[in-house]
Amino acid sequence: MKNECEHWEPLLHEWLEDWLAESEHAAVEAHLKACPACCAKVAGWQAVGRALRELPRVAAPARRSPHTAPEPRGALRLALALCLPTALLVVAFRTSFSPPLTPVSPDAVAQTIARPFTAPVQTLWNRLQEVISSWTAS
Amino acid sequence: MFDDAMLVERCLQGDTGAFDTLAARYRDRVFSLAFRMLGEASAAEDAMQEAFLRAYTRLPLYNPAQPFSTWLLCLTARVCLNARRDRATEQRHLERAAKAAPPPPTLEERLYEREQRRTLQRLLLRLPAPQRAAILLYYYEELPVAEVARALNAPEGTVKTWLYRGRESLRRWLEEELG
Repeated sequence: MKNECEHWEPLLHEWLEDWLAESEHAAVEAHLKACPACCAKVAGWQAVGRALRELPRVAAPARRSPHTAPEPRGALRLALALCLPTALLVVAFRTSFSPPLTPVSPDAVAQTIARPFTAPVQTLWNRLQEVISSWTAS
Repeated sequence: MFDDAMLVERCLQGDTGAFDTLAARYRDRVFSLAFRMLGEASAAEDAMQEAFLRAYTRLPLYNPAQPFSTWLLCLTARVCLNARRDRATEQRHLERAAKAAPPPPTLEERLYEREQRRTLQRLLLRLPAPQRAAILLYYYEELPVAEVARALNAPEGTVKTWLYRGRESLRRWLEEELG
């Protein structure tokens, strides 16, 4: 394309899009008749425009509701799904580690609880141990 | 079957199912535009969700004199442009799109036309974001210049310049790549 054609370029584009006035159309068409390089450029733009219009639509991925919160039924299902394994774990833990459920005499419990700490270093754990041993002894 | 205006009306009266119908009607079109603008499916899906969310919350501002599709697509273009303004994200998306190894071509994909489309999609991502938005809204969605200008908040003359420059860049790059 000749340097002088650079001035024509924006006009050629406007001509192609039909944005020019009637009088301007004639001038551009006269230039096109005399300039094979500009004709080739216009043909290239036409091809690009056609290719852009013919770009296929792309299917959107699986649907997510854009504006609604999770439905209560779904939330309930989630809560149940979390609660059930937790409850099973608690039952399993108690079955494995709890002392056997043998009857405890109220006197033994009262006696153990009423007994003061024998030393400041006695921990809560020791106290618990005493209660547990009182259960098993009775 | 309800037309868009009726569905908008029902939605504004509190029928959320009406918006679901509208979203189902336009989701492929919105996703396509976002995908063409952003070049990556995950980013396009985010933009689609954002566009529908924004459309839902701004529905009272919708002017029924304008087609709903035009309003929604312009809104989508703005969402994509805003996403692009996050420069770090843009760079990451572009790099990921450029690095993504193309799937091995099937027999069908060897067809010249398919190859040309893939090349065109790749080259679209090289355009500056406003040019790309203008090109896609005008050629791909076939919206009038005035609507494109309104969507991109730019004068019509500027949009025409973007269209000219964008198309010329694409023509030149395609010529270099395809010979």
